[in-house]
Amino acid sequence: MGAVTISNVRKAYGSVEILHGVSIDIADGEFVVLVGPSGCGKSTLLRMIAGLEDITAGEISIGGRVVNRLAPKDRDIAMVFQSYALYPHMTVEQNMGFSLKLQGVSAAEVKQRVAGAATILGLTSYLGRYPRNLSGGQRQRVAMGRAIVRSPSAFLFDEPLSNLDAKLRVQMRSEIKQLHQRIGTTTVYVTHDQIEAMTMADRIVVMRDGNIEQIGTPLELYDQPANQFVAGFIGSPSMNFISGTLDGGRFTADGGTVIALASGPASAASGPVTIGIRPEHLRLDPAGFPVEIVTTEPTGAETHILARLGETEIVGTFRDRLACVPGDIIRISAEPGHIHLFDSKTALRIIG
Amino acid sequence: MRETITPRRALQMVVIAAIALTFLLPLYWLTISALRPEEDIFRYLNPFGPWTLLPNRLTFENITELWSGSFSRAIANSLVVALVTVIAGLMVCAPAAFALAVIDFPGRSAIFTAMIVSFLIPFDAIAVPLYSIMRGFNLQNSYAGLILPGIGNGLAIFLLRQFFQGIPKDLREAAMVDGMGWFQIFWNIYLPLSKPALISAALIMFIFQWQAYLWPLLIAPSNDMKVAAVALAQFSSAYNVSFGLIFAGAMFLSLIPMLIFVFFQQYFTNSVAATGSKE
Amino acid sequence: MRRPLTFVLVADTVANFLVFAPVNILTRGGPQGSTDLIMNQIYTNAFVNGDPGSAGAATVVLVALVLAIVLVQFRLMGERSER
Repeated sequence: MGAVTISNVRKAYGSVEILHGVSIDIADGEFVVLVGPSGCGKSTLLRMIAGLEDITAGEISIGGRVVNRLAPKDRDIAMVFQSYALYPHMTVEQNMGFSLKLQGVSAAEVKQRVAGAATILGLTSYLGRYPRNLSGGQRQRVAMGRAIVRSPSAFLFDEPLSNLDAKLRVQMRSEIKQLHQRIGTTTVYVTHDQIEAMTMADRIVVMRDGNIEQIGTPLELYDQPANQFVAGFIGSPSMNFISGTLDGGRFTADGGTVIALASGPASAASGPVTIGIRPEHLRLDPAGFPVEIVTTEPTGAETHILARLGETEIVGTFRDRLACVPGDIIRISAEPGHIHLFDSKTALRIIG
Repeated sequence: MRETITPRRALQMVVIAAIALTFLLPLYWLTISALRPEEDIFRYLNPFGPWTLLPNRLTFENITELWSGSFSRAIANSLVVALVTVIAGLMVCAPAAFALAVIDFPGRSAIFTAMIVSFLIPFDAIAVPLYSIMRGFNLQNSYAGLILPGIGNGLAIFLLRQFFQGIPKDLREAAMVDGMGWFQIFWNIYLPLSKPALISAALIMFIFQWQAYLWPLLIAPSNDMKVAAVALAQFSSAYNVSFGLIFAGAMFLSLIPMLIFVFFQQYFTNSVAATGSKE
Repeated sequence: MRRPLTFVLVADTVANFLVFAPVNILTRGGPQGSTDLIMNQIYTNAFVNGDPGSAGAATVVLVALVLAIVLVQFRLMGERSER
């Protein structure tokens, strides 16, 4: 079985450290997504789990076994690469069955297990083809098939969808999720796309600059981001930040606008703070604060508005259909229970 | 897409064809001279006329005489030496190139540099000292003495390494995760994807041995072990030059590598494998 | 194209420096040494005149010369790969 434990793992190239002591406990059967901007170390961490990069310090164990010194082939993992990395000179069937053949599984059983995986992935009629004769989505499925025939302790995915077009990406996203629900193998999935992370993960690990910013379920990250970075990274369109000062429960933005907060222990603090409001938590309110409209984007279901509050640009999404033009002033307010408070200096969430 | 042929374009094509034919001319003259009676070979050179290029008398006399002598043994020696060099050479050069391209080991760049130097220095420059070494091993007049210097071919290693480096890194990482060790990655992934480069390397090694003259002259001068190039040169001695035999021998010496090249040329175009990765 | 062309030029020069077969077969260096090239001289010294010592010395000079040219080639290759 495949719990994956990463404890205090560091990675350095020469004197440059790019992972600064990372710990994650992944339960057996869990789907964990590592997400963060490029260069945050998420792919490096995944490759360290796979054994494609050395572990400078710390320990990684898979299924209760420390794997630091094991070669990739001895770690009982399967990996899906961004480029798919299918063997060009082998058919789909040979690609999927090759690892089993290496393990010395009998030809009949290889055939049977490949056929089983092909059925799950809808590849049965493509088994005799070569990768060059497949579409991007089909290659992606073959890469997944190559992983699942082995029934490993853990699946590792390295940005597997970033080479697909937008529509196929959405489709493959739900296919991977269904596959996980069906097979239940521990999965570590790397992406830079927070929507992929939100829609697929049991738990998300948000990383930045070689550190973990927060670990939590998608909704935990959405509702209680640990800091301003996570708050801004998760959610689309991203959260609005307004800096100002807090004084006895009264928030005054730098431009002088007063924004009402819900009463609570956090709002009792005072000093410079940044408040965060998600676009979907803004509403039209004749008693609210005034903003000047820059652009409106009606999507049909809702209207996105980019407006200006003093120097700060604010995005709001409204269910209403608004008839207004750039330059108009509208009054809006934030749902008081959904305003996030961050310390202006540390960018950490002020718990409230 | 069809090109319309303009007069300008037609003229270009004629000029290009003429240049190409000029390159073939010596080979053509070599061939017809081999098929002429010996006394006709130089008879029509001056003044230049139709009979310079069109043989008026054809005969297989030179060829029959050539093959009845020791030349057939020399051709066989050359073939054995070249073919064994190609096979043994690929067995040495391909793994060496793989290690240099893929495996990160200490001293790799030093070895790579030494290897480049080894093919930038023409082999003949070191032939004389090498001869002393080989004589020390008692390898004169043996196939081993002829073959050994051709096996570790720096240019072939360089060529293969460049090709191997072009194979996406993801493929070997996928192979590692799939359970392959270095040798299996080399054997199952790199070799099958590198047929064009392997053929080029094989041709380089073949030609190296086929055209070798100084080295075989030093190491294997005996009648039994003589290679074709040496045998050919010896048709002209201080006392007697048999041009009929020289032309006939030269024709075979050129023909054999040409046929091999033409045969393998299809692989250059056919086996450029599409990679399975989306680039 | 300039770099590759220079590289080929230098490599070809070295190769022609060491031409042996035509000299050995056609002219034997004569008449009066007018077509004698360094490889033929080394060969003649070592195997015709029976003077391996002077042949060895000539080889050392030759290899040193070639190495110097190889260094130039390295510079050319290095600059080429930086592009």
